[in-house]
Amino acid sequence: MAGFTVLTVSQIGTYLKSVFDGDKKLQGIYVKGEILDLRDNYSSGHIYFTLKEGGASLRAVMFQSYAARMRFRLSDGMAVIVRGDVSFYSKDGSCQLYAYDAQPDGVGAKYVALEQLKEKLRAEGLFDESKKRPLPRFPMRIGVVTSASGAALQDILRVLKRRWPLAEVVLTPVTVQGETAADEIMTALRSQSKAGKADVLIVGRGGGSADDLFAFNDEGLVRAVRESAVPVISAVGHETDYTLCDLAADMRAPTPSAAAELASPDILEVRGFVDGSRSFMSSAVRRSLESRTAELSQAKTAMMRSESSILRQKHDELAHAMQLLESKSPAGIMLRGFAAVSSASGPVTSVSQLEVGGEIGLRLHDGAAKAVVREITGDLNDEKKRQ
Amino acid sequence: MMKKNGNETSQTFETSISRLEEIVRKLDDPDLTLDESLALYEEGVRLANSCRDTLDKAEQKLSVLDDADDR
Repeated sequence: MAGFTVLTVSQIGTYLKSVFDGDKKLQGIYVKGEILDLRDNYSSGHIYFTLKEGGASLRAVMFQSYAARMRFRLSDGMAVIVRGDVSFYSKDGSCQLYAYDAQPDGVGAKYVALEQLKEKLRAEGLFDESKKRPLPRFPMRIGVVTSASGAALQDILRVLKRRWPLAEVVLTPVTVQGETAADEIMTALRSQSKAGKADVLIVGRGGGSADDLFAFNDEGLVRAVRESAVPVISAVGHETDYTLCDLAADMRAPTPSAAAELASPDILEVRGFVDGSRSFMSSAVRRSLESRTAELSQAKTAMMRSESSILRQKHDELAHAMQLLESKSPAGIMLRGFAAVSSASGPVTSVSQLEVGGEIGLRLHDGAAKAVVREITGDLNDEKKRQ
Repeated sequence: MMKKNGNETSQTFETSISRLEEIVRKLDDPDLTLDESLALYEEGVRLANSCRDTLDKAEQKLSVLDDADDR
């Protein structure tokens, strides 16, 4: 050896724990044995016990979160099958079973098989939420797979008669417990799906013991639920644990009556909507008419307003024109220093109408005068040109 | 959708109700022309009447599906 490696106890403990936790053969296993030295820790809720079988024993602990879910009480001397992981507890330097579930031995074997089937189907995706289909809103045919003589059928018919009598109930009678039940239910589901008559299926039975309901854990039945052409509501009367049929169904109902409720709309609500829609539609059309009327009268006022603005504009133009006219009138010109010349024969517009010594009248803006012509010169413009 | 050509009876209840819901929704649109709302109103009232008829006539029926033909 090249040298000593000195390890602490903690390091060994950590290492051993990693060895245990890394071994798949020790994870999620079922261990069969008899319970000894059971101790309940009242403050923490954890349960400690030893599993003994043959000459061997294994310490075990079930933590409070798991213990709270147990449907029966563990006790000393009880033969059980415990499910859990074996790991190393370095504080005690011992290995122990960390239990998360336990079943009394006997039904245990059946339980183990069921758990394994559940895991297998889950892994295949049969229980996936994404596979769940929505139920039809207004089913006109509701397929029912249950016993023809059971209370379940009567409950379903009663609820549907009250809520949705429009739907025809298409029953496939089956035996819901015993050896042949699973096969019969599976076949019924398939023939309902194949017949394609129903819009939705209800499969189930009234309550019973776990054993009575065991048919609904059958693999073939569960697959038939998932393969159904129409959505399936599972109504297997059971308070706590779901059957595999419940898990695979598109919808799970606690009782057959509840399944019928889920499958159907309430006729009163539908009737309410239909009647309400009529008055809604009338008032919508009335509203539409009213708003058109309002638009028209609005357009009218707008038109009138624009008419009066045209008038105002014309009025302004007129005033301007009159002003212009004013400035062009003789009075206006006279204001700027011009005079109108007239003779006895009328207005004088040319020197040719004058003669020296002749009398002329002058009109200015504020009065008139008489004058005598002394001298006549030719065209002023001609003179300018000559210069 | 469907114009008036007499085959409304073949429409399922679900399509009728869905169309009625659509019409009610559309009639809420303030941009609708008067002609459009009148056409929708007419169609809607026809659908509402036929739905009401179906609801009023409803009577529960029970039939048995034999799986004998399946095997």
